[in-house]
Amino acid sequence: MAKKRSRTDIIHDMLMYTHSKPNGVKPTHLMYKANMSHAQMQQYLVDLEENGFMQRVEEKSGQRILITEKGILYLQKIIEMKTFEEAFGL
Amino acid sequence: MQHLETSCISLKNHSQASKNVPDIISTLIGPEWFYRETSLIDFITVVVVIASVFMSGSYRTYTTKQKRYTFFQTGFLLIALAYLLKAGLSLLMYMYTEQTASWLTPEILFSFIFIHHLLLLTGFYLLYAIYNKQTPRDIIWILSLLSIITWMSVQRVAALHTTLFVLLALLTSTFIAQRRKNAITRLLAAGFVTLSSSQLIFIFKHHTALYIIAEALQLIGYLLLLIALIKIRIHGKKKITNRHHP
Repeated sequence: MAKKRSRTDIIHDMLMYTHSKPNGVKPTHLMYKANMSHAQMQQYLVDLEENGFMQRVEEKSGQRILITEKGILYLQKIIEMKTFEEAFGL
Repeated sequence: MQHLETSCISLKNHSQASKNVPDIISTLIGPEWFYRETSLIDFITVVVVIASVFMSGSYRTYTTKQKRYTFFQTGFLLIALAYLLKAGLSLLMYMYTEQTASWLTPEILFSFIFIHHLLLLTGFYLLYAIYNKQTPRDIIWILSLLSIITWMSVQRVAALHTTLFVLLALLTSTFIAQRRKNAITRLLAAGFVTLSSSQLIFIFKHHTALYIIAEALQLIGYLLLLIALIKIRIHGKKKITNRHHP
C-alpha cells in the first residue's frame, strides 16, 4: 500500500508542477497532476497564496496559477530537505 | 620534546594514577610532532559536523520527522563538542608552557579525556538510535553501559575505539542498505566506511604510523561527508534550474 503523503509532499508536488509550466497552470490541471480533490486543492492554494508562494492570475481563457520567486526558493528548500532525508535515511 | 618530558614529570608528581599520564596524552593526541596536525584535523572535523547540525536545522521546519531530526542534531552536536575538546587539548599541548603545567593536573586531564569519550560514545549512539528504534528502557540500559565503557576507556583507550567501530559499522551497514542509491548516498556510505576503518586502526594507535593513518582516514571520512552535504545543497538548485531549461 502506498504511503500517505505528508503536507510537505503535497506542497512539493503542487509547486513542482506549477514550476514546470512557465506560463502557469489551470487549477483543474494542477488538481489532477497533484492528485488532489477540489476542496483539498483550494485549501492548499489559499495557504500558498497567503504565504506568497503562488499567485492566481485572471485571463480571458480563465484562471491560471503561477509560482512566485518566494515559491521557487521554498521549493528548492523542500527538494534539498528531501535529498537530505533520502541520503541520511531519515 | 623537552617540554613534553617536563609536563609528564610535573603531571607524574601530581597523582597516583600518574604512571599512565604520558601514555594517555600520546594515545589520545598522538606523537608530539603531530600535535599541530591532530588539532587541525579535529578542527576540520568540528566544522563538518557543525555544518551537518546547521543544515539539518534549516530543514527541520519543513519536515514532519521532528524526533529523528532531534536525535540527528543532538548526536552530531555531541560529536562536535567531543572533537572540539580534543582539538583544544592538542593545541594546548602544542603551545605548552610552564603556565599550562601549573594548572593542567592529571585530574583535569583525566576529566578532559572522560568527557571527550563520553560525548563521542553518546553522540554516535544517538545516530545509531535514529535507525534502530530504542525504547526508553533500551536507552537507559545502553547509556549506563556506555558510561562503564567510558570509565574503562580512560585507562584502556582501545575500549573506546572498539565500541565506536561497532557503532559506526552498524551505521555504515544502514547506509549501504539504502533503498535508493545515488551519488550522494554512495558518498555517505563511503564516508562512513572510511570512518569505521579509522576507528578500527585507532585500536592499534600506540604504533605511531597507525595513529597517523587513522587520523588521515578520519579526515578523509569527514571530508566525504562534507562533499555529500555540498552536493545536497547543489542538487536543490540544479533540479530547479533544469525545470526551467528541460
